[in-house]
Amino acid sequence: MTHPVAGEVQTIASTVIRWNVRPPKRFASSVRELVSDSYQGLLDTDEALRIAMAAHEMVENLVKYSSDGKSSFEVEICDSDGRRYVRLRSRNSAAPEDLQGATRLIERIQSAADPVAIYDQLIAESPGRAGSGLGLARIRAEAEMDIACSAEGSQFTVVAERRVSLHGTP
Amino acid sequence: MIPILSAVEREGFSIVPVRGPDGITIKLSGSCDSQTTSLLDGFLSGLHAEVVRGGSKTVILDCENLYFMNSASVKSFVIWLTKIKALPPLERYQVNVRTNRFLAWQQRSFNALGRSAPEVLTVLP
Repeated sequence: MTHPVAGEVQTIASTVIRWNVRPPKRFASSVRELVSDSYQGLLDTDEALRIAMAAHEMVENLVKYSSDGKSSFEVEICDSDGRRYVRLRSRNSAAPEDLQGATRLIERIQSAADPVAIYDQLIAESPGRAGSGLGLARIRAEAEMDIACSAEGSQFTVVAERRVSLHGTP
Repeated sequence: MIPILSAVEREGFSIVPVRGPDGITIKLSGSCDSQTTSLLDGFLSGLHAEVVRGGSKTVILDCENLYFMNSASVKSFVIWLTKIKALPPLERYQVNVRTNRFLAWQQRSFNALGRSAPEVLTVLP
């Protein structure tokens, strides 16, 4: 997995949520509200809402695709070379076909030169297609976050990151 | 104003349809996520049938109080817009979206929907 954030990374703040049983659907909304409420004081409001939307989409995927219910979600603000980033990370076990499908989608979305164009393309393809990747494309186009993924056995990790400006910091 | 279809409400999300002089207005409120997507799907399906039957030419989506919409809901709207685009030109109707200028995500999400159906959907400022 190639992270947009590379080199020396210092964590400024982080929130980790772990589930050992499949979380109910409403958890995506709970996590979105947690992220939104926690980060609106630190970030510009619209920036916090973009990140909260991305968190919602990632947790909905966790709930939908986790094959054994065990999963985790992490929000982190980090410093890399004097620049601040928000990083969202989801981990879950996944069925091989879901893992391969998600990997292909994420590579397709992240490698597209124009995030909006690939979002529009997936919107056009979405009717009648399960697992359309709209949520992931939306993270890149609307939340303006880079996305990456990796798999180790059945464990699937998705990371979304964007550069941010914290209130009161350079 | 005469209520049409049935208003639906669940888990902090509601859809209230109202017939007015400018056509049918659909007031969306709250947060539309995976708990409520099936409600939205069912409502849009019924709305489409009602509008085609009644011959209305405009549907207004009032999103002033819509605070969140997940990607599954975006897909619900795409499916609805696809049905409208498939109608013969004389039966086709327009969808005008009234957004809340303080909720910037609405412009991003509904503009994406507008790009998928420029002949049908207009995002009002």
